[in-house]
Amino acid sequence: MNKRNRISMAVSALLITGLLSACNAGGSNTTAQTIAPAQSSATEGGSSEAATSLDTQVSMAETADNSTPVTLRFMWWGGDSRHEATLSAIDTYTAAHPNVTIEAEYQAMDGYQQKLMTQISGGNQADIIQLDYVWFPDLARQGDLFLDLKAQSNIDLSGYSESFLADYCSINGTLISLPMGTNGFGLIMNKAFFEKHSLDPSQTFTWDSLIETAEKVNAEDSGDYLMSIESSSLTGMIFEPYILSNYGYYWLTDDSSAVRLTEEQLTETFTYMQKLFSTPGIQPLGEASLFASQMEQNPIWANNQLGFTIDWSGTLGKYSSVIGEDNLVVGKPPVSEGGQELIPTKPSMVISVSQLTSAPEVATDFINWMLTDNQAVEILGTQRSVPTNTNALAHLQEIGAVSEPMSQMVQQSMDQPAPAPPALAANSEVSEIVSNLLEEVAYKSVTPSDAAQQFIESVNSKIQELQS
Amino acid sequence: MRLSAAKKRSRMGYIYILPWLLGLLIFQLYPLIASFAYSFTEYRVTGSPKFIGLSNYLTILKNDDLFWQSLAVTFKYVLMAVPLKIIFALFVAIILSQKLRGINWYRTAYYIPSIFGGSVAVSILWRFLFMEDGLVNRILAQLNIPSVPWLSSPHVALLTLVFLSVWQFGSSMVLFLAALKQVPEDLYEAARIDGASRRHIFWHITLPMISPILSFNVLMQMINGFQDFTGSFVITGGGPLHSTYMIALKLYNDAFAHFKMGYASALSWILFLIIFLITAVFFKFTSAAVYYEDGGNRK
Amino acid sequence: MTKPHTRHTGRMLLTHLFMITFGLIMLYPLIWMVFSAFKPNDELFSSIALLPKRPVWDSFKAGWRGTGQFTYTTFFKNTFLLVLPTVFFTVCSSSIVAYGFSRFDFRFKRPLLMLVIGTLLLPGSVLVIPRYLLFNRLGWLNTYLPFIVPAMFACNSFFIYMMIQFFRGIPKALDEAATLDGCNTFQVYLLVLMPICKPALFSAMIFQFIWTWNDFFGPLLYINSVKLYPISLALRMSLDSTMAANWNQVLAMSVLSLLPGTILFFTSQRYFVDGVSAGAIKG
Repeated sequence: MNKRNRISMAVSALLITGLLSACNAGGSNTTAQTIAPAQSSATEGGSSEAATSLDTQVSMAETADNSTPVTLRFMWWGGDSRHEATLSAIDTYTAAHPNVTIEAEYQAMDGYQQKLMTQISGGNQADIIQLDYVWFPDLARQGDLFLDLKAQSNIDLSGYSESFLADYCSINGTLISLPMGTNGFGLIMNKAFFEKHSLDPSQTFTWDSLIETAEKVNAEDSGDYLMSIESSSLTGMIFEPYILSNYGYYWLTDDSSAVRLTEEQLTETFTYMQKLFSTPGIQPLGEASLFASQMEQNPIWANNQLGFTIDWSGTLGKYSSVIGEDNLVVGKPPVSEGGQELIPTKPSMVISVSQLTSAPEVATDFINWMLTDNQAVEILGTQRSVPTNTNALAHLQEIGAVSEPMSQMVQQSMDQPAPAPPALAANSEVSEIVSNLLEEVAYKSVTPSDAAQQFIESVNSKIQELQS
Repeated sequence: MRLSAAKKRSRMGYIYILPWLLGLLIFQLYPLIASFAYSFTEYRVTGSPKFIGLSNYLTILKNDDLFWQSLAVTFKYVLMAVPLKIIFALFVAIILSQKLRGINWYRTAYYIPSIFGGSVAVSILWRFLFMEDGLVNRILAQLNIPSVPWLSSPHVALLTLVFLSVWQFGSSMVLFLAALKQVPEDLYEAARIDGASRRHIFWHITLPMISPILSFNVLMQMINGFQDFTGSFVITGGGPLHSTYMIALKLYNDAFAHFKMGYASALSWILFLIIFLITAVFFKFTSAAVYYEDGGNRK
Repeated sequence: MTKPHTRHTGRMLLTHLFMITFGLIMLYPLIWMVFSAFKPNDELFSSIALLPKRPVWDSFKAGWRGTGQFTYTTFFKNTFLLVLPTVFFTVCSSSIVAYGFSRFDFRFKRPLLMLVIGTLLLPGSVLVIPRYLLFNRLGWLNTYLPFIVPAMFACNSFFIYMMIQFFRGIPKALDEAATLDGCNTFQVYLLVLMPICKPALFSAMIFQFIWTWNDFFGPLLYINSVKLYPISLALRMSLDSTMAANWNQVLAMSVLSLLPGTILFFTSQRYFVDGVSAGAIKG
C-alpha cells in the first residue's frame, strides 16, 4: 500500500542522510583523524624500505618509516594509575618517534568487552587492543581479527615461555597476542585480623582447617569472618581450586568435550561447599555477594573483621588501598589433605594488533617496546601485575619495583602452576550455568547429588550446542 | 471549499509530523528490522548471522528456565513498583503544588534522587543502607523491629529494588506538577462554593483533569518497568538466586555478556509482544476513563 | 490557592514536618556523597558515618585534574556540547510532531500514532548493534551526532507522546479562536500552544537534560577518544573492578556532575509549576 509514497520518503531520507554526513566530514576533526592512518598506510607501503634509523632512544630494531606520519589507536582498560603509566609510556615512545601518534582510548573494565565486540562488528576497532584471554573463543569466530605475531619481525619472543604463549595467547595455534603480565593466585589476607585471632598468615589452609578456623574465629568474635567469597567468584575461587587440589585436573576435559568429573566427585565437592557456606565464620553468601568484584569495599574488610578473600595478584592494589599496604599479606590457596598443590595462573591481560591496522610495523614495534624495553618496563611497572616477559621481570626486580606480596603471589603460582584451563571453561554461557548451579548449591536450594546430576547434564548439553 | 480546506489541513498534519517520520525511516526502521531479522538467526556479533528459523523463539519458550524466572520477577517488579511510584509521585506532587514557604527547595530536594540516575555512588550507598548491618536495619533496631535481609535474601531483595525505583519518582512527579497546574482554578473555586469536600474535589475534579498525564505516567512507568534493569544491574547483579533477575537484565546478558545477539533479539521481540498486549489492554480500559479537553481522539 | 491561613496553621506545620523528614531521606544520598568526597578509601568503605575522621581536602582539585591527559574542564565542556543541542532539538522536534498528531487529522494517523508508542516498546539492548552499524556507515562515530541528529528528528517517542498528552489537555477552542484571528497553523503552535505548554516543554527539557547527561552506554559505544568523553564516561573511567580507585575524587566529581541538573531544575521549576496561570487557558 502506498508504495510511491514510501519510495519518495526513502529517497528523501537518503538525501538527508547524505547531507548530514557530508556536513560532518567537513566539520569534524575527529573524522579527519580516523582517516589519517588510512592515508599514511597508502604511502607507507611504497617507502618502508627507505627506513632511516635516526632514533637513538629506543633500542629495538626499527623497521617502520620514520618520516611518514602514522596514527594508531590503542585501547585498554584500567584504573587511574594504569592510565597514567600507559599514557606516560606512550609519550616516551612518541617522543622518540615523532612521526607516530598514538591515540589513547582508555576506560575501566565496565563495558569494555561490550564496546570492543560492537566495534569489531563494525570493523572499527583500535589498532592495538588490550584483551582478556578468556574472550578468545568469542573472538575466534570472526576469523583472523589479529596479526599473527610470530610472523612479525619486530616481535622478540625470547623472553616468554613457549607453553604460556601457546596456552593463553593463541587461537588455534596462531599467536595472536602477547601477555602483558602474569597473575598469581591465592589468599589476600588482613594481617591485623590474623594477629587478633593469633593465626599464622604463612600457614596454608586445608579445606578442612579452613572450616575449623572459621568456626574458631567466629566463636571468638561473632562479627568476624575468616573468609568472604561472593557468588560470582564461586567457580574460580572455590570450586576450581577445590577440584584442582583434590583431583589435579579441571572439571572439564582438556579438549572441552565433556564434564570430566564424575557424579560422585561433584557430589562430594558440592557437599563440601554447602558445609563451607553454612560455617559461621564464613560470611553468608548473600551478604558477600553485595560486593561482586568489589570485595575490597566490604565494610568488614575495611574494619579488619575479614581474614581473607581469594583473588588474583593483579587486584592487590585495590585491597591494599583500603586497609593499607602494611596490613596486607598473601598466601597460597587452600589445599586438600595429602592432595597435590596446583595454583592457577593466567595472563593478567594480553595485547593484540588488529589485522585491520594500517601500520603493522609500527604497532608491533610499539607493543614489543612496551613489553621489553627497560625504560617502558620501568614506566609501566606492575600496573598489569608483574611482566610475563622474563627479562622485563628481572629488570623490575633488580630495581626493586615489584612489591613483596605481588612477587610472592606470582612466585607461588609459577612454582606449582595448575594446567591451563580447558578453552570452554571460560566460555560465558558455560560459566553462567556453572555459576548458577554453584550459587544454588551454596544457598542449599538444591541437594549436592541433584546438583551434580544437573551439572553434568546441562554443561554437557551446552558444550555440545557450542561445538556444533 | 470545505473539503479542500480539510485536505489542506491534513497535508499540514503530515508536514508537522514529517521530522518524526523521517527520523523513523532513517534512524529507527533499520535497527528495528535488523533486530527482527536477527531474531531468526544465530548471530554472535563477531561473525555473520546464520539463519536458524524459529529455533531461538522455541528455545526461549521451551528450554530457557531463566526466561520464565525473569519474566515472573519482572511482572512482580512492575506490579509493585509502578503503583507505588505513581501514588507516591502524585501524593508528593499534590503537596508540592501548594504555596508553601520554601516550596522551591522542597521540590528540588524531592527531585534530586532522579538526577542521580544510575550514578556510581548509588550502588555503594544502597549497600550501606540495606546490608545486614546497614543504616536501615539499625534504625529498625531502635524501633525494636528485627533486622531484615534487604538485599541478601531471595525473598526480599526485589522489594528493595522496588524502593530504589520508587525513590526515583521525580519524573512522574514533575509531570503531575505540570498537569496539576493546567487544571483551571475556577473549577476548584466553583466546587468549593458548592461546599465540596477535599476528597470530593480530588476524585471529581483533580483526577479527571490530570487523567491524560496520569495515564501517560502509568503507561510509561509500566513500559519502563518492563525494560528496567538499572537496580539489578548495579546493585544485586540479578541475585540472590535470580530473585532480582529482570528480563531486561537477562536480555542484556544474552546480548552483551554471551553475545548471542540473535537469541537476545528473539527475546526482546517476545518482550515487545508482552508489553504490546499489556499496552493494548491498558488503552482499551483507560480510553473511556481519560478525560481530554480537546474532545478526545476522534479517530 | 486562597486558603484561610488561620485554620490551617497546625496543618501547615505538619506538612512542613512531613516535607522536611521525607526531604532528608531524599537528600541523604547527596549529603552522604558530599561528605564522602572528603574521606580516604578505608573510611569510606568502613562506615556510613558522615563526618570524615581524617579528611582529605584535595579531592575536588585532584579529581578535577583526572588522569592528567584531560581535566574535567574538557569533560564538562564535552557534556554540554553533547547535551545542550540534544535537549534543544528534542524539545523543538517533539513538540512540533506532537502538535501535528494532536491537532490535525490525516490518513494513517492512528497507525502512525501506534508506531510512535510502538517504538517505545522494544528493549534497547538489541538495537545497539544495528544502530552502531548505521552510525558507523554514516561516519558519525566518535562525534556527538548520534545523539544530536536523532533528537532533531524526534526519535525519542517518549517526548512526542508526552507532548501529545499535554496538548490534549488544552481546549481546541483556543486554536479555533486564534485561527479566526488570522493565525496560520504554525502561528497557532508557536504563539498560542507553546506558551500554554511551557510546563510540558520545561519538563521535557529537564528530563532529556538529565537522561542525556547520565547516559553511559550510548557514549561508551559511540565515543572513542577520551578527549571527547562526557562526564558519564569520565566518572567511570577510573572505576576498574580490578584496581584501586581514589573514590573521594570520583565522588567529588559525581557531586559536581549533579550540579547542572539540580540548578536547571531549581531555576526552571517556576516555568512548569507556576508557568502560565491557569486562567490564561480560558482565554
